[in-house]
Amino acid sequence: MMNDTAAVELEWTRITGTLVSYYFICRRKLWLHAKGLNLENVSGNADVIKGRILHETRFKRESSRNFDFDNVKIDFFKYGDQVYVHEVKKSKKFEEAHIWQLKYYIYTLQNRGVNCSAGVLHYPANMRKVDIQLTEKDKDLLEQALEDIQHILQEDHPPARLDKKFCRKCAYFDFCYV
Amino acid sequence: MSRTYYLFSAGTLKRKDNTLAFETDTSRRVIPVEDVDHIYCFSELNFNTKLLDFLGQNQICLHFFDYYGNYTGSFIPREAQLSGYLVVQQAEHYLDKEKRLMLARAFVEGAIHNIRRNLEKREDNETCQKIDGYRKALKDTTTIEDVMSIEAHVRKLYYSQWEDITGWEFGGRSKRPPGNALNALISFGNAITYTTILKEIHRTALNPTISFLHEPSERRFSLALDVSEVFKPVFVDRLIFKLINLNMLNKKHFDTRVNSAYLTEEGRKIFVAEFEKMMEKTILHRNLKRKIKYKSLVRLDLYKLIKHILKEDTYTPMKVWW
Repeated sequence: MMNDTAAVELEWTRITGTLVSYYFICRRKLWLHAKGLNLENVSGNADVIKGRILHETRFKRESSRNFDFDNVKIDFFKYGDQVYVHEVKKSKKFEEAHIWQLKYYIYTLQNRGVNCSAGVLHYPANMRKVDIQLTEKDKDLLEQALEDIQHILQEDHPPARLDKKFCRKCAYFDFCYV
Repeated sequence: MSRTYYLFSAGTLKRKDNTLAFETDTSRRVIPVEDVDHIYCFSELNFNTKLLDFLGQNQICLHFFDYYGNYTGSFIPREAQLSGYLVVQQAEHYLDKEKRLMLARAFVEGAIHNIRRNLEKREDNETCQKIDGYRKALKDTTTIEDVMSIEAHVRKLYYSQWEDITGWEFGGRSKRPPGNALNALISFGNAITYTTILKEIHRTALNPTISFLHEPSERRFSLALDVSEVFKPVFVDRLIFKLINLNMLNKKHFDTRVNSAYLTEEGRKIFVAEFEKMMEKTILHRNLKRKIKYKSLVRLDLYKLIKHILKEDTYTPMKVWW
């Protein structure tokens, strides 16, 4: 028999970076996306399309692009004294969520024994870079978040919509408000 | 990713470099692949699997129609949207008699409302009152058969007004083959609507084979039939009235040999051109408070259906408010 913590850890391996960032943006979107009701690619949302083009066109010369690791998808790596994770984003609107997404990547890599504790968040449209470190305190917070995500995903119903101003710009807007 | 292309002349559709090309004996037309989401084919078409791979990558559907304009089938890219969770819930709504009946009633309720609006505009009180009677009776139905029979009665009443509305001979609904010009238009319009809805269903995680009003075994993608009940009066019937009343179609657009009627190529071209124009028309949506295209109405209704199936909201079919 598997003990409880092992079972939880096993579950965590199914959480993608996107889900972690959605946790900090909108839990309803997190639930819907995780249940396969993802609308990013079909909504025709302009921001999503811009983001996809940015992802496809920027940092093309990086050798280790679009790296699949377990079920996290890392934009690209750089190697030095340790491994650095890089993530490209369109707008810094949800910077906190992006930071946690990257921290989750570092956390996953560390759990796999990779020497990695830092990364860089790129906002090419704003000509801006953010350096990210994963601290011990972050780890506790992240584990708490992962546990929360598990609980949300076990719900039979999606959490209520947020009714925030930014909802109007979301790919899920039509779904939530129709 | 927005336009629908219609092929009327015989030729070869192929992948040319990184886009599409349609070649006939005399010409070659390049079709920008980014601009296409459906291709309707009403003629003889040559193609190879390389083309299908390419269409699949670009999420483009290819629909085929036979010589008479009947729907033959579709090439639909592998479903990108999959949600085991939703499919299980959808099946539960089919298996549970009450839940299934509720959805079946909702589809017919939407159909009746939209049919009535078409008549209301023409101030036909007597028929409207009769339809209202059926609409009331719908609430007390206890079996799918009852729901179906109410729908059939309403449609019969509705069609009885068509000769007055259009001034064209009608008699009654006849299919395979359509007996006259009006029937040919209905059949053709319904086929186009069916494929439009099918395409939208494939873009959601709904399973197109699990339906509620129609039996899932009836046709391959019977959920599209359920949903088209709601949209036919708005998309097809209104368009037919418009085309006839504005004299855009007349007898010469029909092939009426051997006691049946088919739209000629020219007639089909007129029909689909107007259909496309209508799909691109926008109206202000009351809940979303922004303008949306007619064709988006289908997607929004599917979202409502998903929310119903997730037990989050009760499905209310699209009811014309304009």
